[in-house]
Amino acid sequence: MAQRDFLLWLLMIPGLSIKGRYRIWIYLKENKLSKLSWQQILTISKMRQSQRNEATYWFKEMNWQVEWHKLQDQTYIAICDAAYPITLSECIDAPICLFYKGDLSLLVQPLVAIVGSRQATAYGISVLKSWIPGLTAAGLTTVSGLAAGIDELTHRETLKANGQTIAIIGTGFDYAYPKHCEDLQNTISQLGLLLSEYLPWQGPKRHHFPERNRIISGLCQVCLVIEAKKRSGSLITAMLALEQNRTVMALPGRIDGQYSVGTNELILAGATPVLSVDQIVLEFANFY
Amino acid sequence: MTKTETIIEIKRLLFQQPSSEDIARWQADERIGVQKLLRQYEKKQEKILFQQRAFNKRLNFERKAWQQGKVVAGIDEVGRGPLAGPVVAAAVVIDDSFDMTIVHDSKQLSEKTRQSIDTEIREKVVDFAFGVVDAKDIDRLNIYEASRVAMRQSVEALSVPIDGLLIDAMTVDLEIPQEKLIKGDDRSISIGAASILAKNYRDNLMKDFAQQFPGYGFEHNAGYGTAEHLAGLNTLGITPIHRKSFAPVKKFLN
Repeated sequence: MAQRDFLLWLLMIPGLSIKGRYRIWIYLKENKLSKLSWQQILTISKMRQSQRNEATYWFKEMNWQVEWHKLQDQTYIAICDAAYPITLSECIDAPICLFYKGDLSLLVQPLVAIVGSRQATAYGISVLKSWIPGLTAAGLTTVSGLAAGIDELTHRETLKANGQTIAIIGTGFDYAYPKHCEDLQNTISQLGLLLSEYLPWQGPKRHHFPERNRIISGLCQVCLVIEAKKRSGSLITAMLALEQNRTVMALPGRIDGQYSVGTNELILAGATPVLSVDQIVLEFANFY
Repeated sequence: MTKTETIIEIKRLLFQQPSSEDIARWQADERIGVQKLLRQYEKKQEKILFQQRAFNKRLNFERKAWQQGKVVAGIDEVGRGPLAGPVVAAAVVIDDSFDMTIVHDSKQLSEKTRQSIDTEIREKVVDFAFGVVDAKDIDRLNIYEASRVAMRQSVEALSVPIDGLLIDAMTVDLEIPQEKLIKGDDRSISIGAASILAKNYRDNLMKDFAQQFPGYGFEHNAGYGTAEHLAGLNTLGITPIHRKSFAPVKKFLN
């Protein structure tokens, strides 16, 4: 079994977390190994004792070969591949495998992540609609999470402007979440790039969304937050981006608006307030 | 009994090297204004210390080489993303006498600061050199290869012999040991210095091009696709320094 197949197979193990998988990858790399024994998988991943019994039952007793066969037909990049971009490896607990559909070369383009509230207001919508053509015309590729609201608008406006967009989803490819974005997901898989860290048959789970946010912030050079309520997920993405030394830019809003509270507080915490699309374009001079 | 110092006097004295007795005396001073000045002073000292620590941390790769009696050059390139102009790389060699702590965070520098320290960097490093690859070659090769060529040229143009390279996230087509650093300009002072020199060099080139090709705003945008640049492309079309292979430029070709 080649190393990249072994890494893919790890995704099937129940109870093996993203962190655990990453620990295994580091161990493989440092010891120049291409795979591990079952016992090594359990110890090196530091899987919790309570999970180990279930995992071992799955490994020894369940008929996982059927799903494994299906999995091997999927297109994916692995962290050991030469094509795995350096920006991805800068993610916290970098994804060891990513399923993809579409144009993988978009991963090395200048990328601006655009994240925000799932309930966009007229203000956020109008700013985004007016800025995205400028970002596209300057040669930037947008990245977002295909969630309702700002994410969805980002992808749609980019495609409308004939630009490039990358969507990182919180489910496997067999799902479309939210349902009304199914057409968008299909379009992006053909005209842009669709990425998922989840097995094709895995559905939307709460913890998937912060997990995929780390990929969004890891990939981009600039992270733009359009609208965010207090304690919103977009703020988590923005903080991750700051930790990874990306530039975080936030759209200032009315101080009495509940959808600007998060963005305004981000600015207080050190994010760059952004007033024009040119500011974003010129920010890339620092990275590109 | 000595006259109590005025707060203005204390402020001035804090600015020149105060002794530890002075500090102790002022800490005991109950005036709010004095306490405030002391807090400001402490914050400033913390910042200097932080900068020094950050600077020292970013000499690890260089020190490793120096301990083995080796000379390394830090390399960085700038100008991959613009729609016009060349891609420029710089190679820099430093030694342990290099003390410009401001270089530790090259990304945070304003353009004004960046330009103002350019001469000082050039004077204080052991050696530096540039590599420049223009738009025609970028179209011929592709921007990634063109960047590597520019980096190779910058290394070959150095006067001192070097044993190894520190590069930000790429490898260069040269038979020499290379250390590919992720987030290089954040982790190595040599790369940080190279990044500053390269940016200044390219910005100045683009300012000259702005004289030759007015109407695109090259003196402000260094060839990046701002609204002014795109408007210029719309009314004036392309120039010889535009990268015809770039998607945003293609639609203006006729």
